[in-house]
Amino acid sequence: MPSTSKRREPNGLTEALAASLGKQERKQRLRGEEAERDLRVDLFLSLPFDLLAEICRELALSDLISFTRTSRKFRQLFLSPTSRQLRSLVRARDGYLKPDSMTELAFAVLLTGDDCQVAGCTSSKKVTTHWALRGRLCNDCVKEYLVSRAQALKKIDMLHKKALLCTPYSPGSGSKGGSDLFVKHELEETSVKLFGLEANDKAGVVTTKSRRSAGKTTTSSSAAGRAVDEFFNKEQARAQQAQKDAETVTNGLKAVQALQGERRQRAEKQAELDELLAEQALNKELKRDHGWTDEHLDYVAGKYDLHGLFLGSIRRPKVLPSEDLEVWDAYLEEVDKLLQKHKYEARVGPARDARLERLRSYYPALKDSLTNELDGVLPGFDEFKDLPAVKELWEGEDAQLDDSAWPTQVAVAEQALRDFAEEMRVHAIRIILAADSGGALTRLKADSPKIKSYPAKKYGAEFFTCITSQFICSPSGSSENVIAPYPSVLEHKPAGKGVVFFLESGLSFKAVCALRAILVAAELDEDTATPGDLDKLGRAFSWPECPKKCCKSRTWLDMVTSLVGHGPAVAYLKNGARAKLVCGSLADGECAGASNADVALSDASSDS
Amino acid sequence: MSANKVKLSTSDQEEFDVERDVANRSVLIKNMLEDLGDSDQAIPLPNVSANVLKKVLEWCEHHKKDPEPIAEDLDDNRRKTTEISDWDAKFIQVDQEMLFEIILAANYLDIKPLLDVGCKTVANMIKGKQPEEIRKLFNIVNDFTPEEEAQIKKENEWAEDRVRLLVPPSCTATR
Repeated sequence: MPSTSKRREPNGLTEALAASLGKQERKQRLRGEEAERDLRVDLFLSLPFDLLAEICRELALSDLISFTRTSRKFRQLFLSPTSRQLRSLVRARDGYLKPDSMTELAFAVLLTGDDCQVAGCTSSKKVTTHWALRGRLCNDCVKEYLVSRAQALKKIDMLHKKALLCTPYSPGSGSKGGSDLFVKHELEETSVKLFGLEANDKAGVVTTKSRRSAGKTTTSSSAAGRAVDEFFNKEQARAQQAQKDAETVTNGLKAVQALQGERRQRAEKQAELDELLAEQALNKELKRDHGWTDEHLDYVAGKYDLHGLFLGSIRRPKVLPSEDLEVWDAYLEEVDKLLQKHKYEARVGPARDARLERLRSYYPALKDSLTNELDGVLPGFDEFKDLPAVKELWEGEDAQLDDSAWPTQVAVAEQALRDFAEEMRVHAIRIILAADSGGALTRLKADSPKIKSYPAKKYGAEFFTCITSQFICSPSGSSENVIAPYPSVLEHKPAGKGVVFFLESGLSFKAVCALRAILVAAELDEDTATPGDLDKLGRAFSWPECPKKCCKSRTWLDMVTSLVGHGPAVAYLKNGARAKLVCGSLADGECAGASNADVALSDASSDS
Repeated sequence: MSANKVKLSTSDQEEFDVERDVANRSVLIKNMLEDLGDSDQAIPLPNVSANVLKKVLEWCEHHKKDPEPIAEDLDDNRRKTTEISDWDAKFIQVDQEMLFEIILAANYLDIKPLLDVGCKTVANMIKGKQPEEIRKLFNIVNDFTPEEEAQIKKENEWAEDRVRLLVPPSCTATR
């Protein structure tokens, strides 16, 4: 029959801990263990000593110190001289080297704290441990209480030359020792002591001389300086020991850092290896039990060139197949679809790319042949290749596009471009109409039958050249804005920008409202005014009620873009709120009081 | 009873039929089985209650195929490097009473890896906490006298002899 007592072999640590509490108390504790266990309050205390030691051995030194500060019992248990083994064990395990001249507690406190031991401050100021001085100080306290070797030589009036050699210091970064830090008062005290002893010694010598001159018994001259030397030697040994101890600790700390780095690296490598092994095991399971193939696995592992492109938004399940097989089945289905797509791409892609390149080479000549006919309304190659009729020429698996086929296909491409030009014309008209009325463009461009309702006779050059029908843009490479009618505005379209997007960004209801306000201020008629008429007025326009108090005079075009960009909201324009624009020489440099024209702009202040 | 099964009897007189592989995770039971030979007699475990044994056996069942810990593993260096596995971490997510019961049972049954898991878990609960937080966590009563509190506070100050050098005698402590 086994004993019910613990079977593990007692070790020195256990014995040390056990000895730290009286035998009587231990017996009582063991007897009462069963009953105490039911009470949560005593759960921890009810653990046998060796188990408490086991737990404490897992703690870092700083945690152990915190733990001992929780109750008198733990403090007695762990800080008593007999439990020194535990602390040494924890320290040794962590790799720290304690100098013999320091107590365990002093070492632990200095090692594990993070506050200034003088001011008590923590995070707000940089706190540094000066091992040779055995203190942890913030920058302010360093300035207040410590002094560098260089400063000491300059600032301490009565500094004994030997004081710097026999006072402990915290090594600075400089190679010549100028930045070594001493405790100011310690240095001063040592100096005073040295001077005092020196004076005494000297007095001894002087007395001797005076006695000698008197023809009496003399003291040996070698006795002079003995007290100073004794004191100096003693203090120097103490200082050297402090430096040596500091070196021991800092070397230990460096070793600990290196060890921790090594452990971290090892742990990272282990984690990587574990992940790899888990991945391999999962892959094996997927293949064996869940219908996955090597191709599927390679695909999700990113072994195909186009993996990133095609894996898209589907994500690998976070749970294991054993936890949720349905999710994994759905994942496999998605992966399989993408894999098939990828395979198709791999099969047809190269030939399709070759056809596309051939089409690219034909396009410049095609454009040249139609430029005049289509008034330059021609798409860039990327827009062209995506026109539905053109796409049929190169995209399909069975498509044939080469020098022999192109002469028969060119007519299709030409027609596609004509359709494109017509579509752009209609689109420009819709943008103009939407900007004029404030209606939504989406409503206007509803379906194709409406295209036929914009006859060229009605929507001709006159329609496009009206000042409120013109598009404003800033050509690439220029900071100046220009205004131009459709289709000549397309000359300013940056390469790569789609025609539709370019046109839509060039004209808006807000821009038309701003332009109308300018026309009213300039007393010009919308139907007959031209950009040239407004250009002639120069920098004549200002907005006195600008919320930013910027009543700078501008050209009419700058005023339009300024109002569109930073002016009042379009909702105010639609609601007919009034604001005032100023046109004329009186506006220059003035903010108000000129001949104001009520215009359809919002109340500036309400929009600020 | 099958040769592959052993019967365990708990402090509250409940009996468990357990696979020998599972029961052998406990060095105590393993030694007893070797001593007893083939016997139908239930092995009494007077220090372990049924609900705790159930939990311990759950751990043993999961770890029944684990290799036996080798002597080298028993030294202290192993402790720092061995982390708690995900399964063990989940297993040990129990209330404090059960946690300490498991630790005591693991100690009694001599299941060192389980004892390690328990001790590490308690240590992890303590790590990085201030004394007051630890007290609150484990319901430890602060029984320090004000003088002892002051002494603890003083431990953290710069060595007394140096503070004397910093502060003129007429002044009180700077803190």
